[in-house]
Amino acid sequence: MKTIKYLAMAAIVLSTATSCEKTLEPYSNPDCYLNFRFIDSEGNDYQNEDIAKIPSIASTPILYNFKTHGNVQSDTVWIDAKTAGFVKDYDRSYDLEQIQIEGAQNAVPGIDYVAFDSQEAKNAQVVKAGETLFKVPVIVLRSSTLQTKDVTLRVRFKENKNFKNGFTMMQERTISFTDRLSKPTVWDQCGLDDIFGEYGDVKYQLMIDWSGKPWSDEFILENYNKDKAYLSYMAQVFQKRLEEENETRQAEGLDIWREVDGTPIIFKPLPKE
Amino acid sequence: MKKQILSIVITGLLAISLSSCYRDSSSLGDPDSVPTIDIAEMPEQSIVSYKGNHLQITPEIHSVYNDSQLQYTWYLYIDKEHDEAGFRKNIIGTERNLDYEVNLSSGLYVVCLEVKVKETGLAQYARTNLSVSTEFSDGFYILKQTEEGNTDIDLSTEIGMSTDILQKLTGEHLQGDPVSLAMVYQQNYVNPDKNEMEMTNMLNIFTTQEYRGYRTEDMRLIFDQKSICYAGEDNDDVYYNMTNAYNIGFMLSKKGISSMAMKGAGSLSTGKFTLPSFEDNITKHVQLCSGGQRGIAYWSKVLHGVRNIDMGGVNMSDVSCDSTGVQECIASGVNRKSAAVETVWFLTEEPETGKRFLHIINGKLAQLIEIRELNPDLHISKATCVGACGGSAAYIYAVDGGKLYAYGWESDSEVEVPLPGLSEPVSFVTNQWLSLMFGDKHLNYDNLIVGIQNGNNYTLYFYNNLVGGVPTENAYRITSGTGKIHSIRRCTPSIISNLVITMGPRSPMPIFPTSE
Repeated sequence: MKTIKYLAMAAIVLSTATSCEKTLEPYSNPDCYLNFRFIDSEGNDYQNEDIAKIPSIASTPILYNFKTHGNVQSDTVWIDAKTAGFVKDYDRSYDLEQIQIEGAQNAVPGIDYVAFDSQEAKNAQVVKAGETLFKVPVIVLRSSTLQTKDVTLRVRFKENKNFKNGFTMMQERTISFTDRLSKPTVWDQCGLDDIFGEYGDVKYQLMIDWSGKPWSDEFILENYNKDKAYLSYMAQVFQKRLEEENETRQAEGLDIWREVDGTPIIFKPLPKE
Repeated sequence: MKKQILSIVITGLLAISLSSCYRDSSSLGDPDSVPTIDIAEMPEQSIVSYKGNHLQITPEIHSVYNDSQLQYTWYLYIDKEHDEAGFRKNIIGTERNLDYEVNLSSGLYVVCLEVKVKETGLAQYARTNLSVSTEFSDGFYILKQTEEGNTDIDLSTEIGMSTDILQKLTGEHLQGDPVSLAMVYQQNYVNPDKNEMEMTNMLNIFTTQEYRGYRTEDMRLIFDQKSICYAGEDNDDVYYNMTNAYNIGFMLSKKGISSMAMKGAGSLSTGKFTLPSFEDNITKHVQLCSGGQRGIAYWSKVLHGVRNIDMGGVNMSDVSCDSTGVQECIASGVNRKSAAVETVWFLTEEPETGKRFLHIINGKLAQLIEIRELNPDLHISKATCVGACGGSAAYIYAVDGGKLYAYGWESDSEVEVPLPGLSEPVSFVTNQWLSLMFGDKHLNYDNLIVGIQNGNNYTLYFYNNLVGGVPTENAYRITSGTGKIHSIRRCTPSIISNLVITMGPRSPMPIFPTSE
């Protein structure tokens, strides 16, 4: 009896040293989902759990300023997004909706932006055949409201016949847009006081007008990261133009270019103490 | 009892059934008879690329295996520290003897032979260095004035001369009198083949009317006076010289001095310069102070003296000043007796009186030592051509009356420099050198080059093995061409990273000459 017990125990122990294979079932979920993409400075996507830990990743708005885009009356803000699920060999439409934010100047469809249910917007809200990564177009309008206020538009994917909502933290993006001059958020980050001198609204507007460039965050960052010397060159160009215009203005009995507080404008860094 | 024995036996059988052992009967199992493969050391190789040249290596291999049992693989890679894909990425041969046509960018490569036993996988390796240069990437560029008064360049290499290169490339000589020739290592630019920012060794040619920057790898035109500056077509400046040192490049022009960060592979730029940040009346004469650690010293026609711009390209200061306000700079140079003692000098002349002065500057501190009026009886006071001695002696070479002299500023005296194997009157002198402490040190050289001008024909004598600034043997190379010699710059295929340039201050010699 004991022998049989020992043999049985040995057999049980030995059996644990064996294994077996199970045939895996292929993915078969027919549902497809949509998520906005949140991309870090190195081009990598944040995951849902990253955003859950740091909600500001998702809540930080995309900024757009008409003042840095010339005389356009409307423009498209493109937002990175991606599908989840099977890739299709035909175009698939998706829907968007606006989420109202309490206490904010919420954008008004048809006035501040092209309504998502308009034909114009629907024509663009398409995931092309074979696409997984795509860009969501939001057409912002240069309304009179923007001249005095910053307007906020929170966009969310809306389920339709083609797509369901994906990860909870990746369903909404916020756009904040305006038509008022404001200091670029990257001005200090890029140390532009050391190139163009201290920031001023009038100086900033002159930079945009004299160069025809937007001098938006994107424009500044691209040149700062890839060709910083170009920024130094532009400071020289602006200073030369400033000297010429000041001379002309004085000859015409006008004051030189100044900021609103009377500070003379100069495109040179202040000497360090 | 029987049951106990039976239990023990069964348990033992179950236990040992989980283990096993094999007798090692392989040929490698016997430590006393491991067959070896011995590959004799392969000599280092050098070759010119894109010329149909073949790298041929016949390795000396000793082994118990015959050829049919062995597999041969030749690999080529750049220093494995930079090749993330591993050395096996690039196979250049699979036969015992290598025969490989070289069409590679210039640089230092490693050739690796792997000899493997097919049956067992036992392998042995041997490596050797391969130095690759292109036709244009390794040689002495000679800037000359053509008979019509324009500018062109010849190239003297180990295999011969290439003449009138610009005319052959573009159909015509460069307009204007020659002003200077600047060899800038690892100059930033946008590679037109890839539309990416890169570094390359660039030959910058300056005339009274034009500027051109050529990539020495293939003599492709990269910059001209419109594209070198952000001002583009609106640029009306005239350029005189360029140099790079200590993370920054300087461009000298009629309107002043521009600077641009050149920090190496980790921080590339388009290579374009801004408008001058220091307005001045400039000449081509510029020297690095302490390898660029103290910035540059240059001759200012506004000051009639030497000015210094610091290594950041931010601050300018006066170093020496001609109180009479009439001196003109006719030559400049740098000498380093040791890593700690560097002298930068500017030779000037009063046009009306012919008096000559030597502005002697402590290069390590960018500070004036002395403005010395030279004795008019000295040969340097009458020299028709002057050249710096970089490091083999504290001399300034001077050509006077067809002979070569060396002026020592420390003793304020001169000696005649004998030129073995040369009896004709000389008219040109330059000392060209490369002195690297790291990297491609095998490319270091120190040449005294002397020229003879006969009408529109020149002959150059290249001397090495200098002792105290004086050649000890006959010229190792004699080459001839047409035109009037103006200046010479050596181009090597070296990748002189900015780290090496920044380490220049500690080198016993300046890394390379920048101006005459």
